[in-house]
Amino acid sequence: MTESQVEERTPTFGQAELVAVAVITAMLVGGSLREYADGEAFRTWCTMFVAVVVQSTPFLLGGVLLSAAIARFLSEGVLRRVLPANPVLAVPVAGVAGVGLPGCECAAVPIADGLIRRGLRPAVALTFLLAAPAINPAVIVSTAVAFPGHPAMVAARVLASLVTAVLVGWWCLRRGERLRLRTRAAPHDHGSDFVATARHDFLHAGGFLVAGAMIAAAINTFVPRSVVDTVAGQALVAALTMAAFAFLAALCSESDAFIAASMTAFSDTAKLVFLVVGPAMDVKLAAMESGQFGAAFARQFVPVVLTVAVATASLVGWWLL
Amino acid sequence: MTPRTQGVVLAVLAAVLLRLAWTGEYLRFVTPWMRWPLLGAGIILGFLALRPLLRTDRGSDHHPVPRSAWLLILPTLVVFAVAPPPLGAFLAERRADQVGTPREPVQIAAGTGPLTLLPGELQWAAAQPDDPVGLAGREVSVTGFVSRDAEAWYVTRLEVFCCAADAIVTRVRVAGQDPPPRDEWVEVVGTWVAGTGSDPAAPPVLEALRVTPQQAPRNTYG
Repeated sequence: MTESQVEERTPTFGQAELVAVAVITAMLVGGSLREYADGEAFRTWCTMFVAVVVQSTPFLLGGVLLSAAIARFLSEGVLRRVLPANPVLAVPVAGVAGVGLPGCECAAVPIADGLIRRGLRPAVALTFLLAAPAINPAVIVSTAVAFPGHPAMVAARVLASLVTAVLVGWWCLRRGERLRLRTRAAPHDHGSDFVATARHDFLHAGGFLVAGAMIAAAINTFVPRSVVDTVAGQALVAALTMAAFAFLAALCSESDAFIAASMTAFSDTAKLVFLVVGPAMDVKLAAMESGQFGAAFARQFVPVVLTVAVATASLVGWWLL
Repeated sequence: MTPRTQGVVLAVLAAVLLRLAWTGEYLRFVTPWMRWPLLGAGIILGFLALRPLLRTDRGSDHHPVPRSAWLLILPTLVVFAVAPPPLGAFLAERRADQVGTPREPVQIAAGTGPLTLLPGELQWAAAQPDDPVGLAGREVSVTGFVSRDAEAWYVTRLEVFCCAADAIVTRVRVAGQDPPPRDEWVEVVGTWVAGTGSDPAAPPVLEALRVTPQQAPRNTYG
């Protein structure tokens, strides 16, 4: 049943009622599906899936509201005064500015979109998107707590994440129009459009967040980490494995340091790869970015970010750790 | 998705977040400090839902949303229809080979009286070189759920930092008592077998004097 069919017939029982009935049915079923649900694995998946959505929703909403506020209240003049006119210099400035957004990566995607709609160069906004979840104060503190007595790990994480963000930013600058970044039209300027923009952005990004959460929960539930551990021996394979795990597990950047610290089989450099790749790119972010900026963009952006993050983290790890 | 459907989807999600935060069920999924962000997000989402819900016409609007927005109903359906339980033995057994950053106990009374510790705290204390808390010969009480492997059973807790997806296992191996059913919450009172748990890869062993079934705590992670 497509939307247009529903609207053409203008039935008395429309989509909205259908959703309401589905939810009420689920409430009446009231947990009894738990008995039929195929055992512990499925229930664990359910818990993880809901956990990722519940944890991310307030952050996504915060990001959407901030993005709507940027689109409405932040003038292009202010942005122009804060950032260097030369985009090659503006990229690193945006990277360092990421320190100021103590949120997780879910908030960063709509904020980057808001900045682009406000007239910021995509390369500069995307640098901010990559840097903010990786180097903000909350992440620095949690990394220091997870690796006690190992300040080099914190320094290496900040450095490698920042370098990754700036390098990808410059790459975006070079690509220019060929990035095929899709942005939606700037919101109209009348009355309650702040609310309308926020609602629309939330619905837009929320579905992709749920899709990413489903995949991440499945990886966390069904792939035993001992599979991951068996390849920990070889340096290159270990780094790539940790990168793949960071991409698929899609953990919050505030908690991933604890997981990295618990992977005792891996070298410090492999752990660093995990910490640098995770906040920059994971399955949840890739889904949200392809929703926000278009699939053609995501197909270029996602592999480049992954490659640059793995290479940078390996080099910094070899140097500092 | 029609505007009214958008309103329903947002309102339902808002209601679920408020319900989880209000009833304390949110503790199955996230850490205690998330309560206020969840209440706030629920209220704001409810506000965003108002205008499309109050619309009387059924036409489309000029802000079409992608089909993916339908997925936002899914968490609600799962919360109501499956009512996912807190994570337990299944996950703990899968992640058993992982060793968390040992957490220093918040407080340990020095002396000779009985000690009440979390499994993670006992792991920390057992890993220290010179037994600083005086575990040896002292009665220790550890509470957690039961998990198993081929050889033994364990009193177990899951430590959660952000959301349940990042849970890390802390556990103490129990000797000298028959295993209770998996996932049952128990208090184990016993004495630490000196020398066990010094290698972070192997949990400390508690020679159990008694095992008492317990109610699961409100927040099972910790």
